[in-house]
Amino acid sequence: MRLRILLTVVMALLATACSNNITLGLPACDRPPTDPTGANVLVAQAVPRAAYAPCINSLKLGWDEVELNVESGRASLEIGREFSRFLEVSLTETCDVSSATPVDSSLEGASRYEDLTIVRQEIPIRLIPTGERPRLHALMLAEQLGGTRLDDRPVEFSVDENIDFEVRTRVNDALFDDQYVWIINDLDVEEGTLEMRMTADGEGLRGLTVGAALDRLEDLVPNVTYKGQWFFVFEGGCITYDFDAEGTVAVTLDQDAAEAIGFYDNAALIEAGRRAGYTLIEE
Amino acid sequence: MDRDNERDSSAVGSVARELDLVGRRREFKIAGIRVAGRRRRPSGEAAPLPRQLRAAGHLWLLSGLAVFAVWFSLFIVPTSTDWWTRQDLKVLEWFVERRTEAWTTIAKALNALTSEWFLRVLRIGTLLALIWVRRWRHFFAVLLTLGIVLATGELVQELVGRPRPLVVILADWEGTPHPSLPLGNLAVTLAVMTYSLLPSSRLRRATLVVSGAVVTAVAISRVYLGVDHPSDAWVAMMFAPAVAVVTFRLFAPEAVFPVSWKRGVTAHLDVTGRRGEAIKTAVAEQLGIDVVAVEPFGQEGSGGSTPLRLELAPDDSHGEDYLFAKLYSQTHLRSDRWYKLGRTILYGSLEDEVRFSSVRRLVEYEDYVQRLMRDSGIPSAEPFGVVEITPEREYLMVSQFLFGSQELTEADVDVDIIDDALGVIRQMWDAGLAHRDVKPANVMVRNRQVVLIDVAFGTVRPSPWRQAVDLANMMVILALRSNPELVYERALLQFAPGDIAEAFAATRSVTLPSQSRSSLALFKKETGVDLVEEFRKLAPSSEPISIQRWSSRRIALTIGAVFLAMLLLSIVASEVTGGGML
Repeated sequence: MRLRILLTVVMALLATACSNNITLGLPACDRPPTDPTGANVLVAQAVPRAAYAPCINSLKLGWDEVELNVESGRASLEIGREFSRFLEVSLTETCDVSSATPVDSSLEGASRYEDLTIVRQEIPIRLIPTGERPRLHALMLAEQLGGTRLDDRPVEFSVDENIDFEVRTRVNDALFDDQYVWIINDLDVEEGTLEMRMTADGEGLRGLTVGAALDRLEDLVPNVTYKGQWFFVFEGGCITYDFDAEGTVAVTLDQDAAEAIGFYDNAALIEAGRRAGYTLIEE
Repeated sequence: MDRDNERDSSAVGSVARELDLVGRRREFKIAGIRVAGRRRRPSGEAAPLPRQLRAAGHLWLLSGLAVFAVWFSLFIVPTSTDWWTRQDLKVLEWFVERRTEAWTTIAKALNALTSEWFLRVLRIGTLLALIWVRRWRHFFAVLLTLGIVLATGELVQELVGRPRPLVVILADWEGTPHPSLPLGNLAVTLAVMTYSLLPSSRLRRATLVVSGAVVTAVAISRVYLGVDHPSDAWVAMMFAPAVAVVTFRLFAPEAVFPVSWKRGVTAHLDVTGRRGEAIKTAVAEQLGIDVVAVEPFGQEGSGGSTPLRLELAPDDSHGEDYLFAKLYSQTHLRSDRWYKLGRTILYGSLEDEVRFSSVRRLVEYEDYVQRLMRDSGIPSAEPFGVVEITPEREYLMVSQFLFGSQELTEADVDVDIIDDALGVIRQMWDAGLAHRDVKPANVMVRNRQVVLIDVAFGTVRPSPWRQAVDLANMMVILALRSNPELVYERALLQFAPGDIAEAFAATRSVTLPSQSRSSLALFKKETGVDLVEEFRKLAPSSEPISIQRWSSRRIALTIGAVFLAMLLLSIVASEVTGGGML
């Protein structure tokens, strides 16, 4: 009986605690440096010399689990759904960008780098005709098949009209651009078939009808994927976006991440604290 | 006038005393033992062994309440977090102003005691030591304590969500600071090590004091380094050991599971000291029998209670020098519940597996069965009644001590003894009773007559399966001292061949008490004869009786048990490979 009373009291306290919203929560972008949340302060304490710290503008639909992990030297936001993490945004003092490519940065005083592996939602198919008659046939086919969807993903057809170039070179170019290759020759025009080629040199699948080729493709195309890193390097720190998403969440993840995650002015927070009498960095 | 008043009050006092003695003057005999001086405990008077917190208990209770008060204020009045922080910062600033290189080095060295690997070595070492001495109670108490501190600490850290101290921090940290988990982990580790590894002694008390000093020094060092607020450290220091104290008191109380370095010691209540005196007082007041000594008796054969022998004062004994008693406590109640749960999972509800709600209910049931057996003519020890030691927590069942009796397997077993023993089973069948634990230690021979002991474990209107098992178990132990052919032949005088066939069709290794099982194994080793098989050959053939009973409750319990076991295993595995609790 006494145990039940105790449990009831504890549960009531926990419920009150939750309703009073005194939990740590997440670092908010909309709080001024003079009135930060506890989470903003804790993240700043992790890497106190960093000019910026990650913060949340607004959570996106489907970002069901957002967890803040903070320790000295590192703060991270882990974002996921159904026990699967698809994005981790971390603040550290340094980061290794040697394998990444520099890109334009919109963040003042920060350099941006990317190292990504992307499988877009659109399934690109390059039709490579081997002569004039096949070229006309390919153009007609691309027109007819416009709007086709595979696994609810749009299929984009394009026709390589450079019929004077060597087929092998054209196939190579298409594969290099992560496109699927359908080769159409005169016999294919006669018989309404095509050849699906996976490699530049190897044998393709000949004599496929369009329907059969699409069926084959359905088994071959990988999931929509957004994997890799964005790096923002600035004075005193680095923010890394670590993406590992497949499927529907990957379709708009880059836009969602850019909108939802912001950059908190950490330097201003530390300075505001110093003016209020709290010294967080050794002078 | 005054003298008149004195005389009147003296007369009133005398009458009151006389009235008080009315109950005490009643005198009678049970089983030849003089019973006199029974006394009712008046309202307000303490029980023989009242449940009380000692100084340490009060201290921990106060600590717990103080921690609770802090958390209460933090939860209910969020603005109080700011107040606490201001007070904390005053202390922190005092330390920050006094920082020197030498003090910082010392503080960092002390703070290293909270490192994950140091604690991991201590914790795993403790658990391995407990495994080695097979002290499973303490093993699980340690795991439970560590789990509670970790889970509660993490939950409160999440709820309070406080930043680190607003000073320059000189050491590594992780997560939010309230309560200080590294400090709590150190404090609880030292506490569980002390409670599970050191016997209750001056050494244990000294170790607790030293541990307290070490934890305090580490707490001060963490505040000095600016990793924790003083209130974070203080709450952790109070909360974590308090969890250890409470868990060990509830789960592995010293009185029942004293720490010892002997391997595989069975758990029984300690009947020396205050409890021993309380037993003597309680038996004198409630049964009217003077006991001069209380000592453990036959503990190796008993797991469900603490069996005792009570030595009587020469005045009361009248030739009977001893009484037999069984002490029941909450620990035994919990054991009974686990036993029934285990049986339900293993076999389903073969018989009544409903658990008792209190020690009182358990004792009331056993006393009732004991008296019912006696009333039904089953030869067994004379019950003297139930004695209350601590209300609702500890009770003593007192019965006749069968002086001069010997176990059936040690007596000369002739046709008369066989007939008598089988007759007892027949009587129980006719009365709708079952003993449920027919084994050599419970079938005694006294004055050439078979007497059953430990009848309180019996049941009313048992399942046919249980009755059949009682018969088989009795026939087996009779055959150990005679031969199966003779026992079978005599059994046919009281049971139908079909009954005997059913008895051995129901018999499995698990239906035989462990004592009978080992006696049978020894018999087979020495003679090459499997007695159960011999009986099966003698009896008409019968299909084996399944002992598995399936029900939705059993399925749910089994799934729950498997789930919990997997959860426990996965936690242990992840903790060992990852980090955290261990």
